[in-house]
Amino acid sequence: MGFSSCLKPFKFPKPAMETITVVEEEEFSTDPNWLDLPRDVTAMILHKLGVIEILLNAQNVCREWRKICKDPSMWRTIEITTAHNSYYFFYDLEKMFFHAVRLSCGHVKSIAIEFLVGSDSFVIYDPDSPDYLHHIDMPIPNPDVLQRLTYTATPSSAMWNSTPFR
Amino acid sequence: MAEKASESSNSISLNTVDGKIFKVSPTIANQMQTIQSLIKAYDSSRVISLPHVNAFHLSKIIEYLEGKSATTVSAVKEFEAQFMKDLSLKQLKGLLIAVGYLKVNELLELMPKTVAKLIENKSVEFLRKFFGIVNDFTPSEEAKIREEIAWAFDGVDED
Repeated sequence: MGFSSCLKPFKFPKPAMETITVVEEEEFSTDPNWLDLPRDVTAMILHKLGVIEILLNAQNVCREWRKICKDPSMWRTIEITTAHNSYYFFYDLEKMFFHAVRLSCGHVKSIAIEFLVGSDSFVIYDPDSPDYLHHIDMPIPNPDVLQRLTYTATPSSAMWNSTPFR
Repeated sequence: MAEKASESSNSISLNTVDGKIFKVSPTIANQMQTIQSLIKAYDSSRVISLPHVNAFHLSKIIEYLEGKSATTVSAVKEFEAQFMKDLSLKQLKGLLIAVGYLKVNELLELMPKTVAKLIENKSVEFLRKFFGIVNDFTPSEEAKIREEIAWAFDGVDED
């Protein structure tokens, strides 16, 4: 009997993911409505989330957001680096990378990745627009060392740069 | 503001949806693209009505445009951080809509970044709740999405 007072359930500290400081429940439904945001402003917000979060979360929220995330203009820069994405190593980054490249429909102008891509060459293309065909060779100087790769494309040339990734 | 004779001669009057009139300098007005094009279209002595912007939002935008002209980069950064911190979520939403309508480019860069920070690493469910979005995918579309998400983790467990 007397024990019950000391049998307080142990409370685990809440994981960081759960702590939502700024957003409070009652504020979710108050006016004005987020849906009144112009589409391009919504696109700007989603763009800032980074590749992994767009692919896993944002594009799966509703049809409107899916449309926004499918727009090649969302994919002019593809950055999958530790600086742009947390929880980075949980995912198959190579698959995500190629998925993002496909979504860009050949409009990708800049790529920065910090992981190895299995093949040393690949094609960025838009099947409907042969003008956008790029064949990318990725010379990796030392394949044993993880490289940080950056790619920039201009109308006349495309080039890769690689620097060792710490 | 209106007392300055030299300023008020070429200042631009903006009328918010709740009936407040703001006089702003051309330098400030021109940083709102929508107003800039309205000034070009009409003669600048006319009061410009803003049907989608209330006094609070406009005063915030003016406060930002005046404040960010600080001298050093770090002072601007500090000002911007404080500016965003002072806004409640409800104010943030309303202001973002106003900023989107008035096309204030610098705030259109800053504010989406702030919102993105709030929804970073959050689940699909959280995003729906946060933005008040109803899931409008059909069951078959949902199934396809689940399949799609599965590929993201494929191969990770192999070794």
